Amino acid sequence: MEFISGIAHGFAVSLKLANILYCFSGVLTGTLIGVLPGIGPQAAIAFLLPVTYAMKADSAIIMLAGIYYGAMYGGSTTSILVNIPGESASVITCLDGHQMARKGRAGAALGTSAIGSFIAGTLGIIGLMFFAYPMAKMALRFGPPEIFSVMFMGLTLLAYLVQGSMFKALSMGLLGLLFSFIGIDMITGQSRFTMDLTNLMDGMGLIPIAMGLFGISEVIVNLEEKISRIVFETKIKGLLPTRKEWKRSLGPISRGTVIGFFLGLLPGGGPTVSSIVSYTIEKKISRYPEKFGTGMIEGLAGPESANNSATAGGFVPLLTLGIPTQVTMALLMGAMMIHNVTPGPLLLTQHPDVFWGVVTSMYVGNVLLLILNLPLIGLWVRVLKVPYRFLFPLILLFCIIGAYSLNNSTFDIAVMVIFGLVGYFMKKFGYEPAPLLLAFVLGRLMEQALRQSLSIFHGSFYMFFTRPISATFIIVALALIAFSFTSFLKKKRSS
Amino acid sequence: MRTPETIISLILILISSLFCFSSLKLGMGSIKDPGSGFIPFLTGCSLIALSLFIVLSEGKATRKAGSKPRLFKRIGLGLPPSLLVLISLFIYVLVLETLGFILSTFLFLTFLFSISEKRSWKVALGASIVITASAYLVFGYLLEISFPRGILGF
Repeated sequence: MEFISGIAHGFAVSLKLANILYCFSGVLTGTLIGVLPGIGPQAAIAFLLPVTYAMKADSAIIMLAGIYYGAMYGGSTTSILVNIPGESASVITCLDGHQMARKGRAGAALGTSAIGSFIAGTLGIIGLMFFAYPMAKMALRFGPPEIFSVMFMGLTLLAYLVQGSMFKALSMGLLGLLFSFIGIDMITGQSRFTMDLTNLMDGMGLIPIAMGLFGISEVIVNLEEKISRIVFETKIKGLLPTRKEWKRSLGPISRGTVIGFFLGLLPGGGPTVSSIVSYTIEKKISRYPEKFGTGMIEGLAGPESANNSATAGGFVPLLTLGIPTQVTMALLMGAMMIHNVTPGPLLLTQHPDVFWGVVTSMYVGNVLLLILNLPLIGLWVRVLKVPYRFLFPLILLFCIIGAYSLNNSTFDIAVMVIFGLVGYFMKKFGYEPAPLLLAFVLGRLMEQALRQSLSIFHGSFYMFFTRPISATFIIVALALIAFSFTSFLKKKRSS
Repeated sequence: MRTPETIISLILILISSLFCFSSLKLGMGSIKDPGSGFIPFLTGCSLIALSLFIVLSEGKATRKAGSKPRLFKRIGLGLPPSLLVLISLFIYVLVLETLGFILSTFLFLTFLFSISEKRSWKVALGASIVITASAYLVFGYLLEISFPRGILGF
């Protein structure tokens, strides 16, 4: 009963006129960001944060969440029409989506992608509603050892799943942890690693770091690459797929939805990974795997659905455990904290407006996106033609204002610029920024939980293995590390 | 020996060593009652160990592959635009308090447009004036962010 009344309460919040408008502006901005290459949802959420300061917490999060899943929709448009993914989760859409467009089925490809995204997004939200409630209830029973071990496993899993070397990812995670310790120690009140700078007493800000790593560095890297944007000139007609195409898409859409949702729950298993997994599975089970990459609708419908339901899945650990599994979720967590809302098991009881409001607003957002995406495709195509040389100064200015407005301080801009430089080098040398940022977000909470656990259990690490939940998490994490080391050593020996 | 991985790992070792030394000064406490420096020290040590491992193993692998990404690629004549943008950002941070938001943003944008614009200075100047004014109106006036005033006094 509590669950149903929660949903009803959620719709009462999300269907308020103001919130519908915020949701609309969120999904509209998100689609625009998704369409524009060279700027991802992470940077967009970071630099649009100041716009939300004056809003109520539920409206702010509804709008920011809208940017995220709106970007997933928008990203597919550029993949199909220009063969340039607007953001990383749409990379795989290029393979068959663009080929469909080349064969004169651009309309059907866009239509399938929008409808698939809508179905997956909607089912993902239903999954989120069902999972979030029992999970939040369970998480209320978590003590410090469980909190530490779930975060430890989360970070290890993230390092394991990111592209490239796990060791490089782990080292970035550890660096993120070290940075998170800067500032006043919450337990003893001592100031740590601040180099006597008053600006560092409260620690470094999440938002300037994120804007540096994902906004500034992206702009700088893009300046070195020639982004050719020759829009595929074709008449987009007949957005609805034919009955045959529709029949072929249903299976991939449903499989993509399930894969995306469950992968979205895992750290590092966000929209990008789930779209790749969905494509691989569709190719494996297809009777014509050799035709993939030539414009197979299955190769478009599956991944497009997976990346949308993964977005919904990603909200489950954030809203119930307070653990962001993707960079965007970490930023939403930062945004919630700015509005004095702490995500976690208590969110449901302390801020039901935010919890249920955000969950149900995603449904509203998905309906808006479907209405918005199909008729506005022509507009998005025109937006694509805006040259990057006009865009990048604007992106940089937004980042500067966003960072400054957090504390009205130039120091935050300096932090952002320094992390922009760091992010540039990381991108060039194959170091993933996601583990650094997520470890930075979780660092203090992890430290607190570990210190509390050690104090309660008189310095014994053994208690992590005597409690079933924490034992499971720790064993999974240790197994992942051990597996990576042994497979690395094996590879080295064989070479 | 000087692969990017080696250099980055050495930087990481340096950073972690600094954290470890400061942690020792902060006090380690005991395992039953960990002090402020206890967990940063453990984290720093883990990062040192991992970086050493990367230096010894992954550095070699990259060297074999011979892949070396090019930093700050030049496009056409003059300094690479990526480097110019980075330098201009650092300068912006340094002069923002002194020159104020309006003047420094205007100069910054004019510079950015001029390095990327092959067209005339007029376009760069015009675009910078319009964008600076709109940004000040929207964020400074409507959203009431108090930007640094600097020498202009507003």
